[in-house]
Amino acid sequence: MPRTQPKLFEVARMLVLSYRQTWFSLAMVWLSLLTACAGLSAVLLINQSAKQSYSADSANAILSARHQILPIQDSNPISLENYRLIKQQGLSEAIAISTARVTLFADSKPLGQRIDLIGVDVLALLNQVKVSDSQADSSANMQKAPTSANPLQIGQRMGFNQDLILAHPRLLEELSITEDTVLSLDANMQNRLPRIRSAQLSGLGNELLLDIGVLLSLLPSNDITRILIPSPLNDAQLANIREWLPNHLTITPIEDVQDSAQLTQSFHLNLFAMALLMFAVCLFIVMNACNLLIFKRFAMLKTLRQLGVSRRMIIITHAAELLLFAAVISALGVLVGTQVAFWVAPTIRSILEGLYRVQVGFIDTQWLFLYLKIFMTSVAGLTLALLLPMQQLKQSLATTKSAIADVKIDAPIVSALLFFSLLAICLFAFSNHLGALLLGAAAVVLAGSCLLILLFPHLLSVCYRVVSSQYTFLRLGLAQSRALSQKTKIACCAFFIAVTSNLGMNLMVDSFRASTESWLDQRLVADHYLYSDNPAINQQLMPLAKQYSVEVHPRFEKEYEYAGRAVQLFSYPSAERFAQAMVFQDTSANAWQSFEGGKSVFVNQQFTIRNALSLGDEVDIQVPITAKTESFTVAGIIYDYGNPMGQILMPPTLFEQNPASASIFALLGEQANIAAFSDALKTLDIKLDEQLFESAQILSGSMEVFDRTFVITDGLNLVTLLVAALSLACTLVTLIDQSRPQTMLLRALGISAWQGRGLLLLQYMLLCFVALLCATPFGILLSYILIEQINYHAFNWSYPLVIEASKIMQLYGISFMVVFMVISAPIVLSTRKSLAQELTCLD
Amino acid sequence: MFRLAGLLVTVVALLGCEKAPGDDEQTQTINPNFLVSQGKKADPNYVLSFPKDHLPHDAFDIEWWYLTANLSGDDGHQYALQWTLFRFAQSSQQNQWYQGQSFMGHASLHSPDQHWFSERFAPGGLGSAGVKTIDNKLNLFIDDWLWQGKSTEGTLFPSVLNTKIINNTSSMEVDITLTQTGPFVLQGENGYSIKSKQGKHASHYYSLPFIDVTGRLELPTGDVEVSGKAWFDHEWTSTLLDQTTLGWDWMSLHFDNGDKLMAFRMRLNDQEDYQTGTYIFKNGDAITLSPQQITLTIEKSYEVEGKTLPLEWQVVIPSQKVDIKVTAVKRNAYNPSVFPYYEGAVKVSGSQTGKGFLELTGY
Repeated sequence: MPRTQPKLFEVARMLVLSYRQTWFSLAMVWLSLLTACAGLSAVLLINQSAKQSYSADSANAILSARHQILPIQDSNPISLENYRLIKQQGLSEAIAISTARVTLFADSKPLGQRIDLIGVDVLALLNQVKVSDSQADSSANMQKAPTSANPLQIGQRMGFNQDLILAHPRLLEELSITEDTVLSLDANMQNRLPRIRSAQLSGLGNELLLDIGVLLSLLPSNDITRILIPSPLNDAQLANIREWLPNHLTITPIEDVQDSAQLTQSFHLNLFAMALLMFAVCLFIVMNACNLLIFKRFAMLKTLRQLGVSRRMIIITHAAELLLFAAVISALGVLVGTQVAFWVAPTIRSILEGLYRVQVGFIDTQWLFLYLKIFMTSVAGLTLALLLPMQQLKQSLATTKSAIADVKIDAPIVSALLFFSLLAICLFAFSNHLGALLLGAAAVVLAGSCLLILLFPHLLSVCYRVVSSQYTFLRLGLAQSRALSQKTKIACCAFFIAVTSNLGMNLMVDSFRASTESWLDQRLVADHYLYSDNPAINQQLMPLAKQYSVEVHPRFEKEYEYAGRAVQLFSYPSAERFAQAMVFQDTSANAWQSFEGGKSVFVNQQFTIRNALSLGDEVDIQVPITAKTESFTVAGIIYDYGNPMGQILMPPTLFEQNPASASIFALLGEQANIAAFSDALKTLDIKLDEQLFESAQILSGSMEVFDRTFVITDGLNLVTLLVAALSLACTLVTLIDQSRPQTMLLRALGISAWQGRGLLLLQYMLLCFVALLCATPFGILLSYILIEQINYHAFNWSYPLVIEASKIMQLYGISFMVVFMVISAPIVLSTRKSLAQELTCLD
Repeated sequence: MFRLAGLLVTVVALLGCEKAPGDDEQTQTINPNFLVSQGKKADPNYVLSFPKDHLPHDAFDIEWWYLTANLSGDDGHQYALQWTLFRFAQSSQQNQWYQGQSFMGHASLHSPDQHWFSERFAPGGLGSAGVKTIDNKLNLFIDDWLWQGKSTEGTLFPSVLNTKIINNTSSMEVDITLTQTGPFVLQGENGYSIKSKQGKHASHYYSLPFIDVTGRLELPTGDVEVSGKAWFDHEWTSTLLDQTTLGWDWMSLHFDNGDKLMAFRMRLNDQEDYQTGTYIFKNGDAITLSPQQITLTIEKSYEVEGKTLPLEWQVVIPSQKVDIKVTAVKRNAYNPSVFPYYEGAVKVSGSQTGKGFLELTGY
């Protein structure tokens, strides 16, 4: 009687029926895929929101401005008269902006955070709506302004109804307020703000957007901060504007947007690299889990083959099954990832705002687009992850043996090792691009993995030979580990990658932390620092300080542009105490003498790297006091961690000695004198808790910000380690099943289940130990690459690598603990089986 | 005369629903404050005087100065020019920036094959827009647009108007001189103009339909010397709109015999349309036409910008033996404003011939 060949549907049905027996491996596949998809979604969303970052002012981001008119000095701001002139000269689309950071009160209680109020000339936005739609003057070579939905939305909602405040719904959530909440500038609720309305404006973050007229009436001492020009201006137009623009104002292209985007790009790349790492490690688990799945199903698949089901159909059914998993789990991953992104959004915003001095908008999710991206990545990742298990399955189903064939992979591994090593060398030797350098770092880690796979058995053999024969149990463990290593290569690779990355990141962060702390500690030479940008108050500080025998050193400053980029021009005292506090990367002989004499300057690392300068080079700088350009020698290169800008230090004598224009004052004196001076400052209307800080307070505050900055990296590191351990657990389950005959034999010989499993645990811990040993030099190498290559090109500063044995030991401890905890579960579960059960499990 | 009122119907349509593009949140209704009558009501006993009443009447919610001109160029082409300054009073604007007022400017020029349109907005307190006497000369201005009286007695005419108008591809500049050739016409009853059957809505309204225009249009293709006739309206009110208002059809016509006609139809929800007008003789005498004395009939409508617009009309005024056909010169004369509306030149045929302007809003 002819036998009918089972159809695809029937094979699929068989697979589904096997789910009861294979739930663990399926759960591992789902869990790892979910972790990978959620992590990647979260990072993509975070990056998307962070890329809406712009320095200086969110208004630029919200309104898509191309140029801005700014006062040259804060002491001479933009007046209404100036704005009127600009309008009457034909710049109708010019938008006046006034900003203020305030503490707001709801129900007479202050909100949890200070909020930026952005006052916008909303009527001018209506002009911009038309400019966006229709303005272009080909004769004047004007280009069409970028179309943005924001001006239209704001214009429509507020253009003829200024009694409104727009806030991002996420900010309302964060502040725990609603559209019905009444906000005020004072606890007595007298200075009330207009009613709040939520608006999902891209670029809007920790700000409330309101009409400039309303803002100026609420805060009468505020000025127009800037005037934005939405449409691009050509050189002729710019020259024309500069002709009639009042002398105290300047017009500049908003390049900060680009700078900032480039600046934060390093952050995005780092985050993205971390996510990809996690994704890759997750795929290792998928690979192991699939191996386990196939192993569990193998008997059934053999039967199917005997019933006439082709290998092709079995492979297709498995591929379809995994495609379905990818489709469903990608959707779940997007949901979970979005939630995670929302949870961590405030931390990310504070990191970016603290580290890069930028404003960051809230996350707006485009679900379908994100889902498709994640789904496609999952499918691509799954295809890569399944190449080996599927190859094994195909070969195994072709043989008559009942075991799964091992695929020999030594030759390809050697090729891969050579390839990754060469790739890394080439990238570091010939590229400065951040993306390429990150790829180089990944190549180093992958080369390390290849090396591990090749060296694993040899290293274990060496250990075996080294261990004395009196430690029978350990020698047995080592001998079995060597055999075991053949089957656990992939899982150990995942663990190796996780540990290497973890070690590399940790050493880099610790080195950075140590350098920053020591740098800050040395630089904070004064006992106290006073922050005040009120010219009237600043004028009174010096005479007042004199009364209390307190030395006041104002830091004079000037906004300066060097080679088309904004740099900070600061004064720095050359008194011995301050000289000793300076932390140089490099300094020339008699640097301080030359500096004090006004012939040389000190610049930060960032400035030298960006302008390809070195010690002894000449730089042309406009002297603040004379406004004449003179040449200065670079006499010292200083460390200036965390500063996105270039910095030039000059002696105070080259600045106009006017404390009114300073904003930071170093205070030196006896503790009692400073305390008395502090009391006197209250009479000047200085808020001591907001404006006067002790050095120790600044140091601890800065380090707190530092630690917060890397909390997410720590989190991702831990997750990576955890998933790597899960990968080992998958392999372990497979091996426990595969080693049932040996286990049964050992137990029949009187070895208890606990002893047997203890031996297995020992073997795994030995494997982990060897992986850790291998990962250590690679981790240190990775850390060096992160500091000297990635960090150098991303931030334009570097710092010495600090290798602390205690930190490495700590990581060993954590890794062992994580692995122990994760793999203990299957081991404990397997010991519950009685000898009889073990025996009946035998085929 | 209903120009702004008609325009505001569009404003209501646009702003009545606050839901912004892409904003899926709850819909909120925001009515601009000037749509809610808060200002001073028009007074039937008010006596208009000039040049004082050329200046703004800040106590009223809305006000506009409106100029339309039919021009002939030395290149043989016909041009249609519109220049308008609107003022709005809003209670939420009682601060230094607004001083309770906002301004909006519209300028439009049609050539036979092109349309330039620009729009300006400005807060009242900034001083970049307004109607003021400066050095004894009357100035109507917003940003860089200026309509300036030449007389040092503060009168509006003679005057010069300079405005730059831009469209998607090019810009042009208007530089014209306006000369008064006849008297001001007080619309309605001595400038008190009733707008609905019940007399619920009314405004102060006067016109100058007798203006000669000479000047130059600086077009991308070159300068064109122009001349022609213009019509000026000035109107202020606080009670022009209610929720039943659907829109307006308005026309101002210069007949070749020197007479003028202003006519309109007010479209109301669930109510009979209200139509009326003013017939102005060439010597400046005017007759207010009651709904029974004038018939406005749509002869043909066309699809423009996705809207069906009545662009051919029959106007019959038996008492003046007027039976004319008013036809839009260009079908697409839609102003792409934040509050879009139709404003374009028309030609007149029938018992009288001539040219003029047609405004259609609320479509």
